[in-house]
Amino acid sequence: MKSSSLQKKTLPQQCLALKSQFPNAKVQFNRNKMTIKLLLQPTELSREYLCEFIVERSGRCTVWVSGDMKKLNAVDFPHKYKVDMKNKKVQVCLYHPSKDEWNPTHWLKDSLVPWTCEWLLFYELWLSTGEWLGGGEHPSAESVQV
Amino acid sequence: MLKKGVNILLGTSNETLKQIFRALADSLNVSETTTKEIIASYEAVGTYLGNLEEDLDIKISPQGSMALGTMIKPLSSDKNGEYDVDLICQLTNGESLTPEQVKHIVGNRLHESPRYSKMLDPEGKRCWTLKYTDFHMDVLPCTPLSSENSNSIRITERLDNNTYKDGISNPKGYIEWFKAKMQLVYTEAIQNYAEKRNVEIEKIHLYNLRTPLQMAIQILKRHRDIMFEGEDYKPTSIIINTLAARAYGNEGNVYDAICNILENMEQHFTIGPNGEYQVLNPTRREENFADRWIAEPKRKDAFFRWLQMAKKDIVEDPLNFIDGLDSLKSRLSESFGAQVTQDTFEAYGRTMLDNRVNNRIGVNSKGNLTNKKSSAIIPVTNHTFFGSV
Repeated sequence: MKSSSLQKKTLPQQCLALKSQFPNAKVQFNRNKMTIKLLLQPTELSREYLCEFIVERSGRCTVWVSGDMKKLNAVDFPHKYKVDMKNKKVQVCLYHPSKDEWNPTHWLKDSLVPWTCEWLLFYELWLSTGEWLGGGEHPSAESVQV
Repeated sequence: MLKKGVNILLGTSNETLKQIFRALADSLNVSETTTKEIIASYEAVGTYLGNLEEDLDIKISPQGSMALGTMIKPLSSDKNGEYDVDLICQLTNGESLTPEQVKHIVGNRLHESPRYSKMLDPEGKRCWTLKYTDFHMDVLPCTPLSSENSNSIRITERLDNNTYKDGISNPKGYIEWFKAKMQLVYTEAIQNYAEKRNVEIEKIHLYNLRTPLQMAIQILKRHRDIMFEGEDYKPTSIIINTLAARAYGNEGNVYDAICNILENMEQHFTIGPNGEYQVLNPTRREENFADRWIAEPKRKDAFFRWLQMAKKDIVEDPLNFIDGLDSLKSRLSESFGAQVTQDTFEAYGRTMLDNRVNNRIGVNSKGNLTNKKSSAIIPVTNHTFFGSV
């Protein structure tokens, strides 16, 4: 992180920084949150997924992935908080909440966005092989804090 | 379709396909343990024969795919699926022996052995075959041939009327020719191997190396094995090997090598006096590896059917019809077999994770993960995937 990295980023700062790297991002502001919609394709052979980064004024961010999602109802669907069956989308879980891997002083474009691409790669490989090959931790259900 | 083919030749082929085909070649390759077991087994045969026939100075060495480093795992669905190891058994001082004597000295010594007699198949046309649990060895008795150039050997052929005649072969010359066809890459590979393992260059064999040409041949052979499973007229390995080596243009990765080989291998036939397609032995122009195509034109048709299919499965479809890695995996499973494809994708995933953990991966503006580095690529930093299953 750069010298200003300890400062919490405002929503417009996050938005501008992200657009500079991902010019196709669509951004909406409403009430107390900003929604960034971005099409991401983890490899040249992969499908494109619509990824939504919903950032609250507090800085808290949730990440939803949709598109041609398969096996949404699989019992072992990996590294997620929620599956929204109606809208066929998944709230993905990209970092360990108690390891301080992410907080609002981090740029979205340098953290949650690349991590989402990586999640998508390992998601397609999970569909291919039945194995989650991307590492990480799966805590027991009751200890997960959303 | 054509345009994408051209892109590949210009070196802009897809990074993911390069990585996945590299993993595929490694999944097809013989494990180091099996290689060691094979070497120990044929060295034991060499020692056994050598001790009994000291005056003849018997030497055993690999030829064919074992020597070229292009051997692949047999099809597991094939009940006879086992590694096929070709060996030269040279009776160095046997130049004055008749072909029958050459063949039978080796055969008799193997029959005399309580160990080897149990493993021995009935006499073959040129070889003695020893069956091991996971592989069989074709032992080719031969002597040097002083009248020809130094690498040529005199082999024996048993005819239908049970008489024997001499034949000529040059497996060592073929190995040298094969190395020369990939000289740049070979020199680099051998140097890397020597430095990494701290061994002398003279002690490094082709089967220690993994060049793009060797890996491309492994993948093409497996594609052929699957396509012709249970069918006749399967194109022979020596034809694929020879045409592939002729077409190879020192590409630095296996996927570009295969694409170039498939695009160009047709141009490396020789046309014979009657318009027939020939694949001449590079070490003996009088030998045509495709001589059976003349009497059995179905063999030629089968080769071209295979070539067409390989282009479709390897070059065209992955670039035109793939919709997700899971769909690529389904297609590759059909072309190369379910188990090696599963191994391939698992290995690819492990490599990607390893690259990420070691900070070697970034994303471009489309979200594509890449090993390339530039200001437009954002590094993927370390983190821990979390959440429930």
